[in-house]
Amino acid sequence: MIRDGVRHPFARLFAVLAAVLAVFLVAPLLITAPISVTTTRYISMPTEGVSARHYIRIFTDPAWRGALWDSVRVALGASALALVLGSAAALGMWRQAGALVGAVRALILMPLIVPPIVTALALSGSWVRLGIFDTTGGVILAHAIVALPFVFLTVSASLDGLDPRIEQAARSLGAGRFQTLGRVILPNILPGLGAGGLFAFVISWDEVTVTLFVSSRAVFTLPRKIWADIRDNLDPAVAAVSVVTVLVTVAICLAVVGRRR
Amino acid sequence: MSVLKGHRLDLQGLTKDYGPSRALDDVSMRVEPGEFVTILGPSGSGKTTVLMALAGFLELTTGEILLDGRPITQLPAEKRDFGVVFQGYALFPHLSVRDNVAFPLAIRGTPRAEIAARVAAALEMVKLAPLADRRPRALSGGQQQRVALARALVFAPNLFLLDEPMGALDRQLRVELQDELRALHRRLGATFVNVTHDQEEAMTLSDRIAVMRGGRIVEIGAPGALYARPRTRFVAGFLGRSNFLGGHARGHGIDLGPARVAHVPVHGPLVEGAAVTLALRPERIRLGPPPGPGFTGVAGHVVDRILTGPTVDLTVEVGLPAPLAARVASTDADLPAPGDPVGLHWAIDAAVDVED
Repeated sequence: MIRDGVRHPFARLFAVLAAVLAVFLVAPLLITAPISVTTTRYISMPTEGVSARHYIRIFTDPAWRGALWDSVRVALGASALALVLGSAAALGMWRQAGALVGAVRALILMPLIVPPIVTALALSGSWVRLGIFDTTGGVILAHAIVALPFVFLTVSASLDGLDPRIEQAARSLGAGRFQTLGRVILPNILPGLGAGGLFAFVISWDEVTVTLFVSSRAVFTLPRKIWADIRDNLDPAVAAVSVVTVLVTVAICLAVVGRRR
Repeated sequence: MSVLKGHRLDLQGLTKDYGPSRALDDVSMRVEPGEFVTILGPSGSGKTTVLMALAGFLELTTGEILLDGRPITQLPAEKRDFGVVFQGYALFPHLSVRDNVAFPLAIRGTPRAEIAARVAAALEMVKLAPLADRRPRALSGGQQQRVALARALVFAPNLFLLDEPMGALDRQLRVELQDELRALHRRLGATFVNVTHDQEEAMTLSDRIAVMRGGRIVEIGAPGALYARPRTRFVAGFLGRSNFLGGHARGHGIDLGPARVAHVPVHGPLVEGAAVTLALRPERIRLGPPPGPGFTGVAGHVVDRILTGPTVDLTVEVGLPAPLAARVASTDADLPAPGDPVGLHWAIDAAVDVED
């Protein structure tokens, strides 16, 4: 109460820093968006009118369409897998303590802690040995591992707000383990499951580092295609794809925030 | 709702070890059909552990639980059909009051029309019918407690397990709900096992009280008998208040050192010269000269006087290691003030020799 009305001494400084940060984050988009509607075939500002040609191309050109399709498939598969595994892990470790639980928790959170390049290298070698390098399944599995901590953390947070006795209450009222899970636990952590799944989708949708290391030709996700195109030729289609990618991400993040309310 | 017949419950040598520490130590008792038994004890005494074992949420190290003579120790919780009311109520936050109460019936595949009728009847019984569409978090603590009760009784279990059912409620509401619980017990005829640390609740509700301490049942008996003739110093102090007087058995009395009082042993004869602790209820003490034959007492002077409402609590220094507490009616004429000399007397069978 007392804090209300008393301003932090650095409040003004923080506000300026936040504004600068926002500009740095949004500024590239302010350039990318106009470039994506240019009429020319090379990167330029739309000085002679606007055109949707690059948007049409990314949805009609086989290479772009293939990449889009790969990304959607991988992101759906990876987020579904991460959701199932992450939720199961969170449920299993709900209100549990002990050395084993701590170790498993650390293992799940590992991809969040170690630099992505380390995860990428580790997966690359392992995927070759397992024979799933450059397969859709392999990329899905790799993305699921990277997204797992996010699902685990959001679902764990949901569970922490839940009285563990409601599980015992359901059992005492005649519900078996699976009925308890389906009729009591899951409905109560639905927001956490939704947020975790959407986070996982976004992680996979944007993922490029690990993808580069676990695929070569057969699986070519959108971020990889963008990466490759930027290096070869500067095509405004890249800008169009970037805008689409950003919009999808923003839409999903807004959905998450909206559900949290 | 039809009149139900309660189950008989036998606890045989229930023991639970957590690593090197023993949470339950050879807990045995029988609960008769339709009986209301309260397990009373301080926190950490193992009372909730017993209840969780009965409900089926705890794997015992050794021991057997029998329901009407059949072992149910291995029966999963969902197959036991006991009405359990949890500490904090454990209502389902995502369901309305009506759906919370309907839950056990829906799980059992009861037809829709019958569910509606039985839920309505259960809510009527706990006076919550107007709030059926609310979510639990929109209810007060007392209302939540009633929903938990309705949910536990709607599927007509013959045994109820209550874990600190009044724990989170304020005093006035507790008294009110205790009355309702007594009425419910009479009406249902079911067996009740209640767990609490509140000795007043235990005395008010129970046919018998089992007092627990350190994972063991210390004493078990009817509230009146336990209160009037406790066997142990622990029960004498935990169930109501007691003065404790330490001394040695001498003839027909107890030598307290500076004083000697007459005493009639309550739990069998005392060995001459043996160390004895007497437990004496503050309300058994009379002020002034001996009221008649068959009384004994000590003399001292008042050091403190506190009005509690209907009674006055006096603290009297009598030359023993601890002063004595005496409780008298506040309507008594000429109550002594601090500093006044006073005689304290009690019937020779009012003090109880207890084990330490």
